[in-house]
Amino acid sequence: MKTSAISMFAAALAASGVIAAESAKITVSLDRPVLPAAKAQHCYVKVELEAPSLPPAKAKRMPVNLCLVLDRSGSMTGERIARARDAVAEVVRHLSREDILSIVTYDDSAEVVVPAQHVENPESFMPTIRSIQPRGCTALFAGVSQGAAELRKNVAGPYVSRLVLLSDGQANVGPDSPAALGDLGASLAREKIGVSTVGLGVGYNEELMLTLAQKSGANAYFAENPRDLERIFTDELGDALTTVVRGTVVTVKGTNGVKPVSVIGFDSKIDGVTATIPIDSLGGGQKKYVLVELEVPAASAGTSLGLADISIGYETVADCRKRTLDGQAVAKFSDEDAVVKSSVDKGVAREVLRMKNAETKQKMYESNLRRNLGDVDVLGRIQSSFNSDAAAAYDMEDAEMKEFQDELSAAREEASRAPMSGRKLKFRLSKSRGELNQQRTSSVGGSTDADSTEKTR
Amino acid sequence: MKLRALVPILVFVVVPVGVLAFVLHGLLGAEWARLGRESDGAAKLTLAASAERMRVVLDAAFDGLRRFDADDPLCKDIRTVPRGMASGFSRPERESRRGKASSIPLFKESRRAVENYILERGDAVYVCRPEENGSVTVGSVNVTALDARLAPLLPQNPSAGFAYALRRGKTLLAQSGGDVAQGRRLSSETVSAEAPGWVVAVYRIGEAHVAGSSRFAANILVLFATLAFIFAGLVAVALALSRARREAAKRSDFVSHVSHELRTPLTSVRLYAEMLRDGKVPEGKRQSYLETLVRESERLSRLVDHILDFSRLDRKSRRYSPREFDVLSRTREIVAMQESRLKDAGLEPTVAAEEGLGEAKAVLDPDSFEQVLLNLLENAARYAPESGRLAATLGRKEGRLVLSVADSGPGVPAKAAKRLFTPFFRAETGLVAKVNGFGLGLHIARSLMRGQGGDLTYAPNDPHGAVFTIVFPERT
Repeated sequence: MKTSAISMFAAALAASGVIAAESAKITVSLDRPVLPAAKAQHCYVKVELEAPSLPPAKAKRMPVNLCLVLDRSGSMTGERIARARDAVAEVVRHLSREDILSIVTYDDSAEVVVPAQHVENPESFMPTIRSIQPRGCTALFAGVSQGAAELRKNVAGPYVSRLVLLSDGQANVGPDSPAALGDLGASLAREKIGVSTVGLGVGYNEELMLTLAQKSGANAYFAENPRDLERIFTDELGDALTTVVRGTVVTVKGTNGVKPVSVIGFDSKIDGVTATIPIDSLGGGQKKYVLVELEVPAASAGTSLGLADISIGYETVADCRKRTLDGQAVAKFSDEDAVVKSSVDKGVAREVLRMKNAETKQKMYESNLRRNLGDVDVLGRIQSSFNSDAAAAYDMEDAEMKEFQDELSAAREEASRAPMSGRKLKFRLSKSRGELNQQRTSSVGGSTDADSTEKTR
Repeated sequence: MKLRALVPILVFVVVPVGVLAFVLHGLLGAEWARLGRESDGAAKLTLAASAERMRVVLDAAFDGLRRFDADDPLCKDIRTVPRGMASGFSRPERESRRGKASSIPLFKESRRAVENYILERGDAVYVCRPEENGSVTVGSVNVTALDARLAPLLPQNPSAGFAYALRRGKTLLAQSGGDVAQGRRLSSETVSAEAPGWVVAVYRIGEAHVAGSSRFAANILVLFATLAFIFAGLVAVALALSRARREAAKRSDFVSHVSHELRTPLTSVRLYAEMLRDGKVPEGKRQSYLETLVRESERLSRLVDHILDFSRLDRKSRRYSPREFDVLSRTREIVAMQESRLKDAGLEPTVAAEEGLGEAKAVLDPDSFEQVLLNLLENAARYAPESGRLAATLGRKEGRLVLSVADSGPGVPAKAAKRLFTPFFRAETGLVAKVNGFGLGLHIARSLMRGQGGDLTYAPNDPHGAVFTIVFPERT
């Protein structure tokens, strides 16, 4: 189990056999390439980036600049700290001399246990790792700051810089609002530092941890049981090791009076006609896409209109070079309903529905988390009406729509009834967050779903 | 518990510890104060260095922010605010003077900042640049990211007893060295005059308490020492009192002993003398009465001699006149002199030398030697009558001459053997009770031998009886 994630990636490396220099690919597609003429409307553009494949197995993998930031507050006693130490030890054993490792622990204050250094001999770190003992408060902010400072020493080099934050409690020293930590995450993302968060048990602040991970463009995990830590840490390392592209930013600039209105799933900034969407890093061969809702003014039939100029800026980890890919979204306009309907890109349409539904589900669970149960029904109604509109516009089969509607009703039922248990919420939020972020690794600990886990208790 | 048993503890433990505690308390008190001042000074220097590092980072950060680079990680967002809407952003000084900015000002305008100034509104911080057309370019500052740049610059692994904290306004951002909530603030420093919102401070934690607790411990020690001195004094007084009481008791014992011992022969002498004076004694018995009178007088003078000896030895004023003599032949003479008395008591005295002894000469006071030997023979006659052989054997051991006198009488009970040489001690056995005596003889004998570099010891004989051994230096 422990090495499965790593060996999986190694196998992927070996199988790909494609040269590293292969460049990334951009694909721009519309949900409806042909839009009804003579009316103002909204449509979705999907911008997909496919990262270059990984280098062949015999070539070197991407070195990693990894900082493990561990909570060692008083609550991390017993199995928790023991499992955390094991997980850290396992991760360290997978590193080699090209990689840079630092370890920071935090309680009342943050302490650099292992300053950033090349991993000449993984075993030499073991005594230090074993000596980590729980005590004191939870200075999460200081821990992240200190970890970032360690990563910053080598952030300019050809490394994937990743901070893995483990916490099992509420931050009680230093800034502790999700907004403040989100700001920090966003700032770190600009420094090409991803912060992956691992919440352990049910006592941690999921909003804070999710926001931090989301804003920094990295992964969020929920480890219900300390036993899950080792798998999560190695998964996360695997994710970092196979990262080939970082600092990815998608820019969608509306043309001809078209304006971007919203972006599904990703945190974005819309300033006038320009939407900027940071999607951070991608693994070798990984595809990530953003769905941007555009407001399109009325156009006459038969015309062809450039809706948006699209560019993706990214940096390849191997050579630290910035590259840009450009694309354009162009739509035709037609009077005939049949032409419009037959043009529907079913793949894009399904993804729009899936992501919109996932987004709504996350909002529902967040409302439940804030104990605003009334909001859940409103969100559900809005999404239902969106779904039926979309079904009409996309000419979707009833059976296909039923799937989305059923999932939505189930979530609505669950989130509107009563405040959910912290454990279940953490499962649901982590899952929907992983889905929206197109996270490659499983965001929740353990292989079982929340329900089936609950049944076994 | 005997008071006397406390004496070594008092002398070797309590009093030295007390003295040490007093001395240490004095020395350490001054040293603690000095060290405290020194380490406080060092901590303040560390604080200043940390603040300086932060100042450099803050200054660099703001230099960067004033370049209005959207890619700057410390910049959240850059916008251009049109002329009409820019008014709020163009009067930073008035705003901050009116206190409309956040309650704790993070920034103070400075000359440097006039061109691209820094402004706070509510919780947000901006860098602003007035443009020529009247609009204002506004970059919002990611304050949390700035906090995160400063936090790692707190002193890492500060010396024990000190903790450092970084605050922005009232928010504790980070601390190092421990929880500052537990400490006492020593000093604080504003990171940058331009940005007075960030403050670093040093706290004394733990060690102050440690010093306090060790001071407390020292005070307890001093208290303990004082009590110990008082206790020692009381014990000393009690010891002196009990000694005086024992001395008095001993003296009165001595007097009563002496009176009792003297009374018996005196009574005999008086009675016999009266009978003789009154002519009530038949002619046939006169001789025997007169002999009794002589014997009792001799016993009286022997007792008086003993008392004088004891008194002289006790005052250590006995004078010896050492002379060289042959021990074996002198022993034979003395035993021969006493032979008839010993035989009357049912004893068979023998004198022998160990094989290969050769010539054995000693330099001793012959009178005291005789007195000691006579005392041993007399004791044998009195306490071990009718027991057969009484063997005096002369030998040599470890370069000294050893004369042992062994009888086969009842011996001395083990319990009494220890106090055999104590003055006025008499073993309370049935046999002894019948025999008159002061309990001074053996004490005197041992004192005489010890006074001349020798000794007198007792050991039980096998299978029963007593062996008294006189040891003395040999003339070489």
